[in-house]
Amino acid sequence: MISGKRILFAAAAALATTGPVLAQDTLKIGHISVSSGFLKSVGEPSNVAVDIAVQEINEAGGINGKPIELFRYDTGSDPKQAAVAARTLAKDDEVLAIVGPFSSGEANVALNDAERLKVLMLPTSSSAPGLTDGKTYGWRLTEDEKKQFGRLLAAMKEKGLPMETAEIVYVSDEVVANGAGTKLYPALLAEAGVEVGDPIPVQWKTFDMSAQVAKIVQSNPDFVAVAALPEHASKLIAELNRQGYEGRVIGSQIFADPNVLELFGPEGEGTLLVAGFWKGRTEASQKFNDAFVAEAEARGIHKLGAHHSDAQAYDTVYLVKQLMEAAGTTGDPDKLEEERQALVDGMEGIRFSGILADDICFDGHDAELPGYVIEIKDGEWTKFAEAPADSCE
Amino acid sequence: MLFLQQLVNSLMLGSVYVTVAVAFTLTIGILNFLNFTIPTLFMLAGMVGWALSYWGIPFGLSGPLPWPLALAMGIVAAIVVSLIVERFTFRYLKTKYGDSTEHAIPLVSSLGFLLIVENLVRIGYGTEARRFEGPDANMTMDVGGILIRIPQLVSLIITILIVIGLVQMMKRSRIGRGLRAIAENPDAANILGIDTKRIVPVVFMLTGMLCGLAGALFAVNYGEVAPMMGEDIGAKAIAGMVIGGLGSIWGAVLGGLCVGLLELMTVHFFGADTVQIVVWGALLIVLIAYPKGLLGHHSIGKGKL
Repeated sequence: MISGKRILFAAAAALATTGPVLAQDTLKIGHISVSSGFLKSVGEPSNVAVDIAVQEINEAGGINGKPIELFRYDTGSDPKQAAVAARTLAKDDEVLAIVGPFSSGEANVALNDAERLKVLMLPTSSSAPGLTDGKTYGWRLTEDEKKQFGRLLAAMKEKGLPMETAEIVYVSDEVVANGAGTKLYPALLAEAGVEVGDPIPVQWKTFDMSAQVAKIVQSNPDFVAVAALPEHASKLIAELNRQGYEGRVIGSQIFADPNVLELFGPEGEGTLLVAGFWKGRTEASQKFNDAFVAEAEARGIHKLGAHHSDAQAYDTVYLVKQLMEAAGTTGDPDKLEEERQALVDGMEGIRFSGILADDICFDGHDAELPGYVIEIKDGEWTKFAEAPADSCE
Repeated sequence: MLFLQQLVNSLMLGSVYVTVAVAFTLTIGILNFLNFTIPTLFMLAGMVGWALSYWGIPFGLSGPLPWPLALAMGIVAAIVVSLIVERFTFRYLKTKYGDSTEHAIPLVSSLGFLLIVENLVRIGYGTEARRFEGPDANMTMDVGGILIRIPQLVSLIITILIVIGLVQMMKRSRIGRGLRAIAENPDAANILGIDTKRIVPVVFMLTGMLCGLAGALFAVNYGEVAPMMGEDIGAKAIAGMVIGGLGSIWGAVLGGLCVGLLELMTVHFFGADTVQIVVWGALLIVLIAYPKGLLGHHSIGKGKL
């Protein structure tokens, strides 16, 4: 499943130089991506973000004077393939570091391979808590669900929104949503003093939520906390609307995709969620967002804005750049193991500034990132509240 | 009151399964063929309808089409693909091997079509759900505190009218008699002068039309379509067909409604995680205790219309 990118790059490099392209003329980075399978729609846009970052870096002279050579492997949304990808990229392609995989399910498998292969692995969208615990080679420039949802509840409380009672709806056969719906949300809601009913499961294939919603409408809670990907959240919101529910729907990062503005339609009005990226944070953030939307459109991917997964993927490439510059990585195949280890060592105590935030630190192996509580208001993606990144001290 | 609301919700959900279950029972009843492309035909009508209403005809040939026209073209697309399936599974295999009622090969071929079409749609439109901007899916009427969604009610009525029309056609028309003759014995039907080459495509056309209609009604009712929307509905419709009785059109209607009832009552009492266990458990119980199904015929596994 290696894409044609490597071949295209080699052709371009061959045209640009008079001599043959030697392996050490480039710095090899792997990218475990999702370009097909059931996560295609949420995962494929990250390819765009990674490609933009690689193109920008190469156009600016590369890293240590050498261009990035990107090796991409599509997992087809299958965690088993993420493990195959890690082995292929590390052993066959001899990459220096791996960006990805995309989801928590894939990261859960592939991070173990990174440990065996002794190569730095940086998942781009994985937000399930604890996945990098005890790992040496796995690091994440992502923020976990627990913290982000806690920030959402704090913002609601601060703004005085009604929050005495709540119901939880979650997708039971999806890893992150299940964990959020059955463990994180109940614990955090109880901590916030919200009276909450038993979490209500729906399944991945559920299309009719009338029975679940009839029960919710009966108890008429102040809000409904949803742990689901956008399409399930959309079905639930539509059904809540049909059955006359007037409270709010809230959710964490799981469905924090700007495209929900279209998917939810007018029924999504008032929905609150948390995102890890705010396009207006800096000029660079806005520039990335605009470039991302345009490039995605050019590739036939309709995006209303960059998801924080995309921004994280983009920043992850720049994080690798910073590591390589600090370590003086040469890409010399004879020094592969040594240079891989230098990148991992470079992660200890690192500080990184990018489009996500400035001066990002890592607590354990997970980044401390800010959270942006988003409200869908007048059909727009508006900032309801903002929480700064936690300290790593 | 909540229980009554759930009963009404069950009936509405069951109506989604009914049309697809009838499509399944038609091909199995007449051709002894479990047509696995049915979920894809269902999905195709919805996705084509959405694409035409959102983008218009490809290559800039038109702007976004009005939703009724877009869905009508979605139904046509389902019929056309169904006829292609007939051409390259059923007819081709009959010509080549002489016995298209040997159902294993067409079954596998139709599975191939299901996967090919579904993946083509995924490549073309992505995997995410798409909002279908049709009529207001939220229109409801309150009958003594029970909410009834008008689009679903209209869909249920349309479904029942179509099933009645189909039953009448099977009983009274020349094509219907031909189809029933093929169902009884395709070789004897041939000897008696029934042109199976011309009549068998009618089954696939009806299948495409029923699935297309079901997909279009789904898009209107739920305001959303997705490349995988046919999978669960197809599986539940098969369960409904078996529970109702293989090869019986009214059995498929009853079975589809039963599955809707089982599903929502299970969600109501035990939660969504147990739905599959209850629906498929019910199917196994019916198969063991009452193999012909609720309204099925005596020849087990070979339902005859």
